[in-house]
Amino acid sequence: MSVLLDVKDLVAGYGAVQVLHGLDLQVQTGEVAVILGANGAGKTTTMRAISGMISRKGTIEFEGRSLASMSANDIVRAGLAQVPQGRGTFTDLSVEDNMRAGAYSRKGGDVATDMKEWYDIFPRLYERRDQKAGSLSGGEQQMLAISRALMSKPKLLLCDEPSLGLAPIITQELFGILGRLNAERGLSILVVEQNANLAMKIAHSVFVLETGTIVASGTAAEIADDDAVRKAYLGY
Amino acid sequence: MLLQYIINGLSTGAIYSLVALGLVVIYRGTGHLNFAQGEMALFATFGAWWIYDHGTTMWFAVAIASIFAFFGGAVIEFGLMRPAGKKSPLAVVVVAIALFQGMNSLTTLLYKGSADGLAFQSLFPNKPTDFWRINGSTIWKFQDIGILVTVLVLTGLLFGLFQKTKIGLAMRMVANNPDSAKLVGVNTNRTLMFSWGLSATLGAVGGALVGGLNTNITTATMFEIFLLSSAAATLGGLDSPVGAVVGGLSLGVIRSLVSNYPEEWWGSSYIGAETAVAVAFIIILVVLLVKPSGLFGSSRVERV
Repeated sequence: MSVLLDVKDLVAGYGAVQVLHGLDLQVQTGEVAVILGANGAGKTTTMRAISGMISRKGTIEFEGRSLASMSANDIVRAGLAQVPQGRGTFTDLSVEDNMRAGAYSRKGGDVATDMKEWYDIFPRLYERRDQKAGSLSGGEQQMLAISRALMSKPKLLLCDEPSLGLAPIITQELFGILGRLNAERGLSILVVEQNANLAMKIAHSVFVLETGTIVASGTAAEIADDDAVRKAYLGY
Repeated sequence: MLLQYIINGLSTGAIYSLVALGLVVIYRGTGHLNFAQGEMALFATFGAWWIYDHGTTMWFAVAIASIFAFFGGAVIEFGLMRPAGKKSPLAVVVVAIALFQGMNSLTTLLYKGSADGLAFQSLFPNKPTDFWRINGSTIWKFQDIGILVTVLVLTGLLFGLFQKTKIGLAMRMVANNPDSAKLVGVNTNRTLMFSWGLSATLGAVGGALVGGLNTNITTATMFEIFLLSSAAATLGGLDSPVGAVVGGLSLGVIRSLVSNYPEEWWGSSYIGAETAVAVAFIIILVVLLVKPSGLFGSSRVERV
């Protein structure tokens, strides 16, 4: 396995408030990596720092290329797509326009064929392709947000709390799909999640985030065996 | 006479629509009403006059002025609005008001004596005999037809731009969710520059149409147009291009009817031409009381 994303000593925050204090994490090509952490640990900040949505310091290397000084709109082009927290769909645009928006960064390629591919995986989106995205249910919007990110043909998919505000059954379906995308297509995924039990099921490696630094990391099995982490985050 | 008044109202209304479209384009991208829209258009219109004065055709002069307006609008976004936006939303308002005053003063400075007005050539045939007789005494001047057709064609092009082009998609994304637009790879700064350029161009054409209609321009010409256009945009819902067009046309017609009818009925202009603008605003007030988001504005209902 090779390192796809290598983050070292990442420092970021909002204005005068520093949230991340020197965070290190690696994502290997072809794996699902999960960041676990409580509210306010800095999970979303980590995602936003990697995808260039906030200013940050430190090393962020993607396929050996530094992203640290790149802006968000160029980072997509490097092959890293983020599904933001709260889904971030274009609510006034139709489902189909949202999909097209996902392909915005691409030069050429067959957008219609790719769209059909994701419609096959998410048939409900196809049924609602002419509806405004804002009229979809939370679960459907999350599926749209994932499809939109996939339309950019990313090498790494960042998902920021996909389970937020969704019914457990929908969340399970979503994680099932993320797991399949990884297993069947070899898509590398970095997920931030509060629902640790669910996320652990598809994870290869796990990072535990506490007040802006990684306090434990390892394979999913190692973390599940770690008593302290298990009690704090997995609840058994 | 009703038809005649409606016809007359449609051409001024079309101009309000065009300037209102310019306001909507910027509002959707930034959430700000561009107070300087009218005065930016004024500057461009005097520019067109200046080019025409050097012996070109009016069409050529307006085309060149519109192209320059595009770049001028982009420069204003880049050089003034963007830095102000980084400070605070209030700074943007202050800068826009300063720009309003500045553009007007600059125009006065460059065209001394223009307060009295400069003769402005219409883009369309405008001799007393240039009209189409609909029936009896009802006529449709070529000038009025030309204005309406120009605005409708530009509106059509604008909708095509929004719906069918990549920059149009980017503009819609930035209007709806700037963060997500960045995440899919949109350079939001460049998109806003484009929006300002586009808006300034729409204003420049609007100014040239007003000049042609009045056959004269003064440094005060665009102020009332801006007032009514921003009212039209508000009536339509501020973020809706369809609303801007409908709002502009209906405001033009309302104004024409209010200017003419009461005077005809009572033989007094107590309610009439002088109060037409006020009546138009009262109607807007009533519409907004009933429907605060305007006729076509999006009152955002989202499921989470």
